[in-house]
Amino acid sequence: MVFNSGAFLVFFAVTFLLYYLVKPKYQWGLLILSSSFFLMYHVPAFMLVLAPVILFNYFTGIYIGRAKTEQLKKWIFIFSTFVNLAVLVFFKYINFIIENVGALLHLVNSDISLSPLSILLPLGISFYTFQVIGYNLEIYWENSEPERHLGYFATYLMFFPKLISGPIERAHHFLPQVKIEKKFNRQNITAGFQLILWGLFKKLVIADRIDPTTNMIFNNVNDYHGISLMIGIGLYVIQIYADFSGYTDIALGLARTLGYNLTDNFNRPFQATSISEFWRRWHISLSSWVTDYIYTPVSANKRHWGKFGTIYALIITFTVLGFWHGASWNYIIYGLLHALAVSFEYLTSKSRKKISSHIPAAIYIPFSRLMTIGYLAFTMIFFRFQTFGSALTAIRNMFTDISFKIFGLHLGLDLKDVIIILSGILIIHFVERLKAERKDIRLILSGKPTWIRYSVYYFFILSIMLFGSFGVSEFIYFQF
Amino acid sequence: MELNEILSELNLLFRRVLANKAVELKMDTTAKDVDGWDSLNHMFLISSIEEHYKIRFALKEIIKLKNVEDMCRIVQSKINS
Repeated sequence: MVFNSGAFLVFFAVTFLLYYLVKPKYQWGLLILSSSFFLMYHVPAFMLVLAPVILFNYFTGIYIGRAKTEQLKKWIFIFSTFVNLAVLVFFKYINFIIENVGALLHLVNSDISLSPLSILLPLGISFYTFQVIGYNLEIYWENSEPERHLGYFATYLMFFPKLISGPIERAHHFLPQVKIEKKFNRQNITAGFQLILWGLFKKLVIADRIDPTTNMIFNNVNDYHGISLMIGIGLYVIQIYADFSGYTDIALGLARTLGYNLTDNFNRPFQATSISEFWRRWHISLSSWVTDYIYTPVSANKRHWGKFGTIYALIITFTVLGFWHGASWNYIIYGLLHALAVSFEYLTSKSRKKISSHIPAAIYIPFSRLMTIGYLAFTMIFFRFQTFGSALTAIRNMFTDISFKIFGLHLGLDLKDVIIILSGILIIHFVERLKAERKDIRLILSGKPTWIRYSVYYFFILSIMLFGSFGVSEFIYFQF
Repeated sequence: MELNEILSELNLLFRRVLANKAVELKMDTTAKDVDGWDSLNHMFLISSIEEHYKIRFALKEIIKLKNVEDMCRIVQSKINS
């Protein structure tokens, strides 16, 4: 049941109505019921993974909080993390491990043969596993108190707008919101639907219009060379941003209509002038999670190694960040490439600062942005392709047979597509720029006469209806 | 040692480590107020403070640091104990 499907529309309409009809103090109960339905609509058995995870962490949180000695707290925390990771590894990484152990055995001429298990990846497992690990760690660090109300705790992990693809919410941000009784609030509901409309625009008009082209290029990577592959990977970067930030806007919008504020995942990522800055602007709920719970403790532990300690922590952090996306060496390479860039930026920060003081900002900043986007696009090759071989083929082909003709590239895009995609990008850029200048378009609109407000709504609704692609495609991040 | 003395010593230390002469620490200064004080330089600052005062922070103490005042107080409690 993807957000942009008819089934979801019916599901949400019913949930929304009941939510404001039940007694406010039982709203959390309705959210648990509807979230269970939402998850089990995909595969009922997914609940058999999520429910034990909720119960287990409900108790470990309480026991960590209650433990009398530091040593006991530590051991309960380690035990809980071990179990949470074991569940994630079993469902997400077991076949990767089997495959690689099998390949190793084959190398040493062993007769043992291992066959992959047939397991379905439970939806949202990467997201809720990280949330529970962070939850226990915050209690262990004595930054938070454990939640004693099982219903509230379950709502934190199950809340359907963020269940499948995040944002990865922090308990101390989400749980206080569960405890507030939500009244029907017109402002929240309007803001929520505006965000949903904006997310649908990004997803249906831009991401899904690009999707056939990137699929065609990357599924036939042997047939494409030079500039057409470069355009392909550039389009993929735009697609994944429109897709994931579109998803996030819809998730935030749905939550807002129910009176919840979720964490935003994006802050104009393509304005970043370095890869380090990019990670402060891209998938923020994940990057801040790995910063707080992996980078900080590891770098603190190795602080006496000096700069090597920082680089060591960066390598571990980005490897986990990459591998979190999926069981493939390519995601590890993706993470390592980002660790390499951030380490380079860290080691050269003083000399780069010196160089930048001699170059006018009007040249240095756009140049840095271009370099950052170029490097990001390069790493995305490993993100997009399933196998190492196909990623290498793409890179090889990209730098062979380079000709700079723009027409006749067989990208599957006609003039109409190009105009729609470019206009869409310009609209996103314009809206995000206003927001960065603290002129949020939704605030501006709220002060305008009704006819202007509705003209803008109809513009987006009509754009989606006329120019959107309605092949009901899943969001890219649902697979993680 | 008084908190204010520690503050002015930390100020000199921050200027040296971050190679930024413009650093002006106040008690309520946080990382985002200081150019160059990011998560990459943070541990470098911590270990410089440890070396300077010959003290050692525990992991939990490092994680709980919210602003310069927290830093000063921990340093004070460690050198006075």
